Amino acid sequence: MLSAKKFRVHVFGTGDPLADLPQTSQVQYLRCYLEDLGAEAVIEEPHYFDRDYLAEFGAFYSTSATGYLNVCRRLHFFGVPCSRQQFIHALRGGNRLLKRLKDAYLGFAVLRPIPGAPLGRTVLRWYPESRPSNPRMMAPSRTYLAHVAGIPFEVEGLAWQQQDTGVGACATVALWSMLHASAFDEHHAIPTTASITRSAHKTAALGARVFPSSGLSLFQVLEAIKETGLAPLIVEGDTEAAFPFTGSTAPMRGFTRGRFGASCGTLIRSGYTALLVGKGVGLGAHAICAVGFRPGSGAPVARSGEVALDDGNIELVYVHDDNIGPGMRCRVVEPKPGGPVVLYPEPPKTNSHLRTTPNPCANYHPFVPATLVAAVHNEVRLSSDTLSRHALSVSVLLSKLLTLRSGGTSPGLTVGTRFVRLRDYLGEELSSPLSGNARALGKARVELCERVRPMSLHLGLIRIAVGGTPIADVLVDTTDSKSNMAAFAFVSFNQDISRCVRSLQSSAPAALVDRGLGVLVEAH
Amino acid sequence: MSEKRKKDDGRMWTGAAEPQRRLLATSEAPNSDDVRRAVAAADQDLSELARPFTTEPTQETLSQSTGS
Repeated sequence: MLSAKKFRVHVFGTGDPLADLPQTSQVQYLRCYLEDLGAEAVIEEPHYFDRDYLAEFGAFYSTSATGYLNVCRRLHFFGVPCSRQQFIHALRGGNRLLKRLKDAYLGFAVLRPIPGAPLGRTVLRWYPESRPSNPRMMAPSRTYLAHVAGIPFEVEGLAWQQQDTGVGACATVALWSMLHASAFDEHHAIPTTASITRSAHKTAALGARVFPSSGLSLFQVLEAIKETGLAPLIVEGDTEAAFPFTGSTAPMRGFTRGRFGASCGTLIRSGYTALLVGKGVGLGAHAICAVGFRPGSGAPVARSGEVALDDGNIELVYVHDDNIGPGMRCRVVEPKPGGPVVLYPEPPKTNSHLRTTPNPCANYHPFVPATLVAAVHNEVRLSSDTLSRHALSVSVLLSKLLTLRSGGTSPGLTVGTRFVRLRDYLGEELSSPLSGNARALGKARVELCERVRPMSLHLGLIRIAVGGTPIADVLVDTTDSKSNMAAFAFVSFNQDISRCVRSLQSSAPAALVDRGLGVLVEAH
Repeated sequence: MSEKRKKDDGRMWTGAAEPQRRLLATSEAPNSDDVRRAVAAADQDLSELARPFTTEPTQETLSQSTGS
């Protein structure tokens, strides 16, 4: 039987429990990340029963001759100094010290009693935003509550863990992170890595043993997503080229920059994450989970008559990599025009002067994503590709019409896409472009409910803008097949755009108007 | 998620519309000839612009390993 143990409070640094672990790249990365966040203190829960580890224990470790324990430790990191005496005082509740600890909470890491892969579920706060004018897009992250002696501490992030190769390999761990995404807040219990691996083998085992897990094929990844009650969405790389720096002349499949950015943008802005499957240069096949990105600086500007993809030039992508850690920053680089893009790990420079250990991602393998997989709600049958094509077709047509009627002086258009719940669109999404215009907002809400046919729970949202100024939204049905895809409504925020759409309604082919644009709602 | 989204999205997803901003040279709406020419011009551009979004996964892709 386990005996009772005291909480231990450590100064963050060479004497803390991270320092006692084998100094793998994951442990070093966590150390650097926490140094950058300004970690000062670590509170150690000596006994923590972790749901994920208990599932791994039941599936694998309980029958090992090693005699593993079923209990973990959990470390809580704080950005202020704290002694054991102060911590005990804070537990009285309602005091200034407790508030100070809560405000300075940086996240937690579960330490499993597995020597080869001790880092279990880990959630860390994101780095402070350094460029508020061009912020990171981290919509998939969620708020986690960690209770210490009944006191809740909050951290916003997305769970990561080290793969143990007993119960899960890189794709299993990436899938597990993926299913934590905020888009699934309401309806889906998050599966454990053990249940993900079992699900992957349920219908697509092909003779391979389940545990220890030696990796999944893409078929198995897709099957595992279906087993969780979600639908897999797959986006295939659209180009290929040889990279001499890989030491191989064989062409590698991958993405052009525009498609990679637009696909990641559509999914991540919707609160979904993107599983990137491809090749690590010098590493081989690998899977990582894209959890956020930073758009290119400034709104894309297109020339008159042309259209730019809003996320076509994303600058950085943040990935959970089981070989490194959560939120590894990678620069999106297109070594040759036409792709494929390569993700180069690039550690931030924040607080680097305080580093006590080198950041392992500085020398980590570049990664060439070849296929992108997302888990989306079952009701969403529309693919991101189909939505992007529709977005381009509507915005190019509008752009051409504007150019013709302005003698080439009208600005080009920018277009972006995402999936959104109907109620969220009618609520917060619509209120942004119409802020300060309550009359138009009320009118648009009423017309969308009373003049438009009943809309689907999830909408494909196409936003068209001039630079950073929205001019129209097109709301697309997500529940039908590709060949029957149709728009519910065209919400115009600009009087000249309304004129253009009325002209299209009276003169363009009926199929284009009825299915491509839907009902015109004038919100201005 | 709404407050986070407002903070994070930036640019066209959170900006306010400018309903009176002039995008056409005159207040006259495009006529049927303009629409016909715009549809034709758009068709020309679209095939190239949309091409990257038409790639479908192959059996080879689906059976690829994701690493260990």
